Amino acid sequence: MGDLKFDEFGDIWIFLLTVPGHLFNLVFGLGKFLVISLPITLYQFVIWLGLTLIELPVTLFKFARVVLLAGWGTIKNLYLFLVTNDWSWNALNDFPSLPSEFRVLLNLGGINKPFDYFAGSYGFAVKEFILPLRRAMNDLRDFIDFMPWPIFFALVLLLVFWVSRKMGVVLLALAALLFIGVFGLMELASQTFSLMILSIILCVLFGIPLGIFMSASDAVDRAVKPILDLMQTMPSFVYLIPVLILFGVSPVAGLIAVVIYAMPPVVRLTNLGIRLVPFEVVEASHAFGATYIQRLFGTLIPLALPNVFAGINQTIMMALAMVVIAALVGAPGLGAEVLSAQGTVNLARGLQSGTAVALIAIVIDRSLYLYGDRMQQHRKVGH
Amino acid sequence: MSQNIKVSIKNLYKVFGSNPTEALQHVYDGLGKVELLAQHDHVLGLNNINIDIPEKRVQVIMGLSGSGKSTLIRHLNRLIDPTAGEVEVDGVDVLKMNPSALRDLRQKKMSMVFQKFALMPHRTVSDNVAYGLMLQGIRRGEAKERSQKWIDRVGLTGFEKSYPSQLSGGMQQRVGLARALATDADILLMDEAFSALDPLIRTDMQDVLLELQAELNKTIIFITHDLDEALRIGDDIAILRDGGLVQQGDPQEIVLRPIDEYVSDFIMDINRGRVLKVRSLMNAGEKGGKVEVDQDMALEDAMQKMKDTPNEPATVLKDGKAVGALDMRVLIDAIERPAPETASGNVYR
Repeated sequence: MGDLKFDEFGDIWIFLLTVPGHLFNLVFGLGKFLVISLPITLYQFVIWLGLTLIELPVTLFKFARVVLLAGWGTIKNLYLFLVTNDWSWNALNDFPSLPSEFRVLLNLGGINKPFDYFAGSYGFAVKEFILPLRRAMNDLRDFIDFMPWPIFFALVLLLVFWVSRKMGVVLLALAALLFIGVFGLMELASQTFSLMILSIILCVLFGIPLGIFMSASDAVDRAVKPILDLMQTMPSFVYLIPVLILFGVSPVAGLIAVVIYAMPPVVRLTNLGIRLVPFEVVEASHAFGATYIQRLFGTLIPLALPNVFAGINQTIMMALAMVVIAALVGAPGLGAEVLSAQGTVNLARGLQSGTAVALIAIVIDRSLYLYGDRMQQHRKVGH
Repeated sequence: MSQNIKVSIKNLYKVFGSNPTEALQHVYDGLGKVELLAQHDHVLGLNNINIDIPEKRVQVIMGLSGSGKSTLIRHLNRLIDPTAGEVEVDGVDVLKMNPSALRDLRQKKMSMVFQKFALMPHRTVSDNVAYGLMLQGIRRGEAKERSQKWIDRVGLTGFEKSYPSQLSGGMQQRVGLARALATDADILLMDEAFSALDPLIRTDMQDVLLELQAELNKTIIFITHDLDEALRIGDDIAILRDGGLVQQGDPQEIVLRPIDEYVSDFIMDINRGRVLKVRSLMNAGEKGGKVEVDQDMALEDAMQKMKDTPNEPATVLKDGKAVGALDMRVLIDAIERPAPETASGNVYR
């Protein structure tokens, strides 16, 4: 946030001349992201999918080869295992594990090699399609970074007030901003903000349709739920590895890691919210001849909205929690600062940046909670 | 009856369970509801229902809970698909309709009022009433304009901007009624529409419905478990039990000639003097004495008029002309509650 200084201009009028530029940036920064970067990303993704499908026979052939090799290896090694294993009582002390040469075959042939092959042949395509994402992240960061701090403060406080309608939360937000500013964390915070905003947009963009899809079909529901469980319970360091192989150490790798970790709540709660819409109301919409689309947008989503908002809130909280871990694969911002403080055993720096993350989380949580509360209240007065 | 048949239900069966078609074979082979549940773990929801519902009348379908009445009404607009049978509306089989024809039927021909109101909690009263019209693709302004008439008609003027949760139960059901009327559908399905209301408000809503019906002449299919309600608003009554049709016909006929113990149990507690009409008991063509009673007069009113001359039959008038005579003894016999022996065996209560 240090790029523009009053002194450099020497004159307020010259500063004011830059205001249209800032306003342009304000609209353009987000607009560029929403209208250009995001569609390009999706377009690239579709092309990538197409290429993958075209190459499917080759992939299947290679996969079959791997499976055959692994199968042959399994049979051979199980035989070896049965023949060579010590079947005496002594052997009961330790669980008989697979022979090491078989494990090598399994790990290398079954998982690592195919993935390396995947990363090798698609790595370029993957990088191609994450390029717009990286651009978008930079756009957002610059957009926040180039803003004069009073405007940034005012925007944040206004936003918080608009969402929460409570002076207490606005004061808390002000305290958080002052804390971040005073300890020189503003630039890091802006990077964290851009990461957060982008990851939440992606989570909502993919999560809500997926949740709707799950609510519409029990089969999809059954298929997706275990994947969501896996996304949430698998230690996040595990999927940092493929993310790292595919995307390298980069902000986008951090972004992807955050999205994977933070998406499940919004999917789950969208699904749940729609399924919890009272049966009578759904039946009434059937009885009056609503199409699925009319029912979805006229009845299901509006009534599921409080739950969807709870899901978005959860997603934001989880994204913030992931910021530090994602720093391991190159996510910039406060998380990286925490990580480096840990590396240099510097408690003060760690506390400062950690507190900054916590304050941001509290402000967002309070604001959204109050927003959700207000949204329900004007419908539930009276009897 | 000279009226056209509006809705015709033919050989309708509904079996709930994992393999309804197979279970239905057992029903054809003569298994009842209890046996089917015990032997095949399927629930017989509806068992060979045949009803012809004439146009512009109020057809009441009655039964205790579990008798299948709510299931039956949901077959008419196919909220539930039957296992076998036909449902014809204006001669068209509803069950053969494709999704868009069915939507058309639900949007324009049949509308429904629900027991638990089923209003959209996130919409205001006027948006709720305009709901059916908006689904038809009518733009908001026009839909609201058209629905305003019905809001006024059910007496909710001034509450247009309220949300359903801000209204009392009776008012919410007025919204439900207005919503159903707003689409100008000629068939109105009412699924225990007034059952969730307090007795006083229920009577109130029955009045509203009767008043509207006198003016609009819709075909109303009204589900209820309350016999007083059925007798009050029904032109015809059909009584269901365990998914099967027990008796159907004129309310007078059902009260005077219950077909079995189940029905006579049903009608045991009603006020017969108020329900029964002179025309059901008179001796047509005979001549009566000085006292004159109208043929549509309730028995208790007729009794008031006849009490001074108990030994002389009264003259029954139709449109001012004598059409028959009513004997005091017949009248008292009819008012008398059926003896416990005939209406006992309280198995269904």
